[in-house]
Amino acid sequence: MKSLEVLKFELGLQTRRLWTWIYVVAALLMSLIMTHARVDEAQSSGMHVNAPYVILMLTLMGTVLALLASAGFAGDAGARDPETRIAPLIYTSPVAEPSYVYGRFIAAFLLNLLVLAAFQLAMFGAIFIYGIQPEFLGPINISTYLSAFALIAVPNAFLATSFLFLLSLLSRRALSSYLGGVLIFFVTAIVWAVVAKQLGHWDLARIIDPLGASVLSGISQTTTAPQKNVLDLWSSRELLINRAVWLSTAAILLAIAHFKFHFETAGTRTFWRRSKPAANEELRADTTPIVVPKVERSDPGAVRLQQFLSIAGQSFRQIAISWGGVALVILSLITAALGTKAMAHFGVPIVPTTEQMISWIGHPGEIIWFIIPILSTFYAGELVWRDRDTRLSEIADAAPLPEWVQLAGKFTGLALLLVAYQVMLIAACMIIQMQTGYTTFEPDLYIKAVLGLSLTEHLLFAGLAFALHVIINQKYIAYLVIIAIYWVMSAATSLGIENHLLVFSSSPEWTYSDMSGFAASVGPWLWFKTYWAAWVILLLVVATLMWVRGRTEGFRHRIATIRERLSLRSLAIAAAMILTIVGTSGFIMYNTKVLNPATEKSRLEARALYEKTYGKYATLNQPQLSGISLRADLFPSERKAILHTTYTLVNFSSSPIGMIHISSEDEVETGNVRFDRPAKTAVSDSALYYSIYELGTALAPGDSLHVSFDVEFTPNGFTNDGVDQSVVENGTFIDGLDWLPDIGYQRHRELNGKKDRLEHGLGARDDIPSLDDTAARYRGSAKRIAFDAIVSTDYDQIGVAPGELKRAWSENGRRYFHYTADAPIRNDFMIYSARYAIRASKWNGVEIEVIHQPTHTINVEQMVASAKASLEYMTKNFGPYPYKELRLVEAPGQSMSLHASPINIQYYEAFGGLNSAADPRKFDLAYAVVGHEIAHQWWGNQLSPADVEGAPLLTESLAWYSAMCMVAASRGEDHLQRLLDMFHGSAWMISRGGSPLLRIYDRWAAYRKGPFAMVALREYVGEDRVNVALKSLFDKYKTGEYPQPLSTDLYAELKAVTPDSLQSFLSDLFERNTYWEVRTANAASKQLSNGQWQVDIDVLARKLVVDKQGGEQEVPMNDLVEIGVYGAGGTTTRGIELHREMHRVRTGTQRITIIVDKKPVRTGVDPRYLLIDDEPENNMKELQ
Amino acid sequence: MELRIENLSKTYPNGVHALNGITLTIPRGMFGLLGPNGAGKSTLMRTIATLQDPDAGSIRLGDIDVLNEKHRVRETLGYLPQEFGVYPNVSAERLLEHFAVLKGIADRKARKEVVSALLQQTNLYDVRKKKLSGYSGGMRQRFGVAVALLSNPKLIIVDEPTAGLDPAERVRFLNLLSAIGEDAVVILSTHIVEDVSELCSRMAIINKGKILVEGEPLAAINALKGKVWRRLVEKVEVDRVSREQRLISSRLLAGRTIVHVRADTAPGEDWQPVEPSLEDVYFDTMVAAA
Repeated sequence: MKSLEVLKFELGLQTRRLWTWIYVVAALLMSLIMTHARVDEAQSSGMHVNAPYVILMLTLMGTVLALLASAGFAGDAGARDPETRIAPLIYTSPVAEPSYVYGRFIAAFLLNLLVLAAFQLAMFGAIFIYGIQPEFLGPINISTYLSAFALIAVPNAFLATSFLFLLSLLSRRALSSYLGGVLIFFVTAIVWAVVAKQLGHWDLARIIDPLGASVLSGISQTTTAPQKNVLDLWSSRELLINRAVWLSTAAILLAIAHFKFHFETAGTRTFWRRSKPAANEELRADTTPIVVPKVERSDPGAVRLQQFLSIAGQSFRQIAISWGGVALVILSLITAALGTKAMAHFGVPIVPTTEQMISWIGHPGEIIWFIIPILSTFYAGELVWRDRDTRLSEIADAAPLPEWVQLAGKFTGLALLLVAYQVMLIAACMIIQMQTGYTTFEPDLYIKAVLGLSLTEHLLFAGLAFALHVIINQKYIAYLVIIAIYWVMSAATSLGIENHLLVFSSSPEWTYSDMSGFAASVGPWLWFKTYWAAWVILLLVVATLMWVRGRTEGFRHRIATIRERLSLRSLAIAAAMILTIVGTSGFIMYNTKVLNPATEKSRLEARALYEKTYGKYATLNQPQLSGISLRADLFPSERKAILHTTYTLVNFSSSPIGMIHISSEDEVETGNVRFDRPAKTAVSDSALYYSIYELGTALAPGDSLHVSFDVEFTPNGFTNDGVDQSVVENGTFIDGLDWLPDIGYQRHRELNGKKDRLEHGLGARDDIPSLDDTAARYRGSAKRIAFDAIVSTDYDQIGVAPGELKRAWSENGRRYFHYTADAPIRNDFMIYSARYAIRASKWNGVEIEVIHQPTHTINVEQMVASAKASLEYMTKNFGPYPYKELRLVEAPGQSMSLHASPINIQYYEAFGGLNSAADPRKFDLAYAVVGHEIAHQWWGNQLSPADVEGAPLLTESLAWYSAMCMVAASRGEDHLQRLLDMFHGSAWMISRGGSPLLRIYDRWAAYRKGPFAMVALREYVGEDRVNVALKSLFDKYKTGEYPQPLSTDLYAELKAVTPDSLQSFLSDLFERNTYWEVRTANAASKQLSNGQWQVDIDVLARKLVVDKQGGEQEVPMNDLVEIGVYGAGGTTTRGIELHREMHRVRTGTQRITIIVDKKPVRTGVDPRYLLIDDEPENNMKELQ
Repeated sequence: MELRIENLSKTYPNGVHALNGITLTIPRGMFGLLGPNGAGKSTLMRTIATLQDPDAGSIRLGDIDVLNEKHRVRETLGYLPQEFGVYPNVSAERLLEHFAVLKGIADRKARKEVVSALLQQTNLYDVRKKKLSGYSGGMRQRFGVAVALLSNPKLIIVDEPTAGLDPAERVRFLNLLSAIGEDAVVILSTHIVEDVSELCSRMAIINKGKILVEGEPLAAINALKGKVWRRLVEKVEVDRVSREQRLISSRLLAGRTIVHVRADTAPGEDWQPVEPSLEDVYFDTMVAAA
């Protein structure tokens, strides 16, 4: 009964409060906004706006946002009585404690559900409000909304309310609920970002994620869009388990509240410890009057600094010893502990150079760095409100010091905390470096990047938070506003706001590289930050004028205060800041609008217009490029370059060509176009970079001509995205395809993506041409070209281009390098210049060079070794390497991807730091990856497929297959097995839905599934036979002449070498998207009387064909599958091989019995993971 | 130096007239401000202490325009609010030193001395290292006194200071105030009549935002001389007395009621003359205003 009264009273009280309805309205609005975002998304993803998965995910996001409301309700329900000091009256009334606890809890829970129900309702209503096109809408089903509510909203609200209520109830402070809310958010975020995504422990993450985000993320990655459209929400076992775990946890928390809470007034007991007894004093009975010592006040000017320092010190101490300070220390420790794990690529350690470390901790993009803005928001509020919250304000406000000293002092307190955190992070990074034995400390770089650049961003945000807390003067509204601003900051791009002048604190990102330093990236960064700093200071001046002192009555009074406090000095500062804002924004706009008018939007428009205007020339007969001769004059210190280029064009067609079409590039100036014969300009479209030249006399079939032009790059201010870093002081890196013009209309310049095309009024097209598009075999730039280049650069740099270095000389204080390709190359080349070191070696007349940053040496020997072994294997199996040199060239940057242009393979600094030797799994990823890139010299640079579905199978998959064979040949089968195990284990969470290998175009299929299929063939059919097929294919297409090969050509060759018994297996691998599910259900062993061992293995198997949409269809299985038995010891991960043979395995359960000589310890089906099976870990079983 | 308040008015948004044309001149020395709860005392005190702006009127302290030169007032102000809190997790000594800096005592040595002396004087020296959050109400009040006395204030405003003090503390505190009052303006607001009668050379009685009486306590008492009469009556008689006489106060004594009435001559034969006290003045004033 009394419980009911407590509940009713609480509900009555809360529903009369404005806050409750603010939450409800906010929930409605957020839900409408978020659902609206799905409308756009539906056009590109194929997911319905009301797909069950989308509803589930939006519901989850609603519960995350509603944590704020949960904290509000739970905090108030648990701590209002002590905080309003009515507790003694309530606690002494004859209500039993459980009635009080449950009454209040249920009220808070129901209110939380009210907010979530509003969210759900708006989500449902939105699909009618927005008038969504029927093709983006699935069947409307209320039960899906209710299911999502029951599965996500109710359990999350129950958990949040019980946890946050427990905190406020026992600590007697509402604030602890808000902190608890932040904690729930962070646990969820860290579990998802670190445990699941970074460390790959998805199974664990799905259970320990309190809100279920990791479960949803898992569902998202393993299902296709059509599957998401028909998802049965109750079918996910992981979700049900997660919900069960956290509902029970919530129940336990509630039980703790029941048993631990007692009616005692504040101060007698706190949550974690009994408070210390009050200070005792001896009573002095004498009544002698007090004599106050006379001290003169100092000159007010002299004491300001001390006052400022004292307030700053007090403020810093207050927040540093609170939970937030502790959290930052813990976070630094976690950073240090995680660092060695995080400094890895597919688990392979990366040398923790300072460059790596600062790019890791310096860029606040990672979800766990939310801690800084959240802390800044929170502590800015605490500091601004501290005197009032502790009711010391009347005394403090009457003290004789100006408002700006208060404000500046408190802000400095917060700033000091941020500084301290950055220093701790630096320390954590150095600890990581020391742990891995890296000793090249660069404290100056840390100071520049972390205490200079990162800290500035944190301080800007803290300043904003501070000023807004003062100006808004409503703690929780200020929190909401600041968090909303942060949300806009981090979601600006997806909201379509790109201009950095409009999004608080945003700017182009700075970059750092060992080779190039900060290059030119800091300049634009600084302009934008200065602009934003001026805003922040201006706001802080306003905040100083509006600083609350004594009693204020309403907004008008506060405005009056401004007038009263306005001094010449504050006016002067404000004026200076306004001038700075106007000045910097003017300069920035001059750069981003006048010097560089192109925007992302205008580029899309230009591409659309390009297609609309010149698309009619797509099939126009044009001459082919057959030679490039260029002189590249690089001026790294001036960041300038000019490429004097001559193209040789040949008319390979049978009709004369009178018009030459040239598409030039927008990031460079292409000029001085001249033909070796009379020609006049017919069209010169500088907006779309399209020109047409009319030849005086048409180019006859078989005839050729020369056209020359100058391509010039000059630094031209900066854009909204920063500075083009192609040419930098050290580490110049120019992609020829990006700068030099194309001949004829180029399909690859057309607008991609269904949504963009629709918006620009273009018809649909296949982004990837179909395998059945046979015309594609005669399209594209596979043609080989002669190549000759002279690279001139600063006297202390080395210039690199493809080909043999004919001559290098110095002239006029500059260095010159003349390269000529000794055989024609595919038109794909880079030009580099830097202060390089060169490691040279030789293999059978091929010069091998690793051209690298002198300090990056850890991988150099592996690269050389891999180059030799790769040349050896590929030459022997596929055909000769056509050039006399093979180079690996380092370029500045943090990417792990490499690019194999003919002759010169480019890698970034990050790859140069891959420390395979320290990998405990004992395989050499760098060695294998270099092998893969060298294999591209055959698969890609010689054999170049038509650009249609299945093309990556001929390049990426074959290059990996070749590299794997090379690893096995040079390092042994065990080494390859360890590499493959990593490939199988790496945390790609992908959906089964997809195309057959012959039609693939996605990365996972190209880099994983394709190589797996080839490796399976290697075992089933044999490496020799497979290589015969590959060589035969290679020989037919290596010249690059039309027609270009298709995946089906590879398939025909493979079919020819595959025995009849395996033809259906081959077809399973390539013609269908087949998945095998084989696992060992049981395994037992016993010793026989003759000393031998009998192993009984119960194998469970089935085979599925999965369509593109993810629809699965079981097909009968009757395939040869390896069965393996292993004994203890040996050097391989599985143990000593006692038995490994193909056995026929059919759909269903079957027992396989094997006799071995030695004691077996583990056994299983498909022990080497040859089949396409996404759960290989259940193949093996340990024997008892 | 004296404090001159003229025509001070303040109306809160909820319609309460907290100050209603207050005009007062407060000379150096102790000035008592008496009034019931809600009379406007605290509003007046906060306004003088620069923490609240009135709707109309002016305040001058010597040559300082209090409402427009807040900073100059604060340079010389000691303020003990009626109710205040402290930072948790900070010791008394540390916080007092912090305030010493805020109040402008830059010299480190002088600051240490004055902090230490004030802690001793306010009997907090032994517990100076303890966290303020553990202090009792009286200790906290004394800490507030110490803050108010930092750096020789010329204007001291103490709002209901004796409420949380035990009898001995109260005596010491009042002695202290009177000692300071010799060369500063000290305004003591209270609803305890004895505080004023024992200490203040001047006083005012305020109710509903208006000054009812202003002057010297002794003069006010003298003015009542021979006009206050008392009688022991039964409880049931009180009503009758209040109808027939000008009743000043009534209080219980051993189950019966003593009533004080005001009359120029004895109202009857069972009435005895009373030597008037400030309390009689106070109640008489309140009755007159009602």
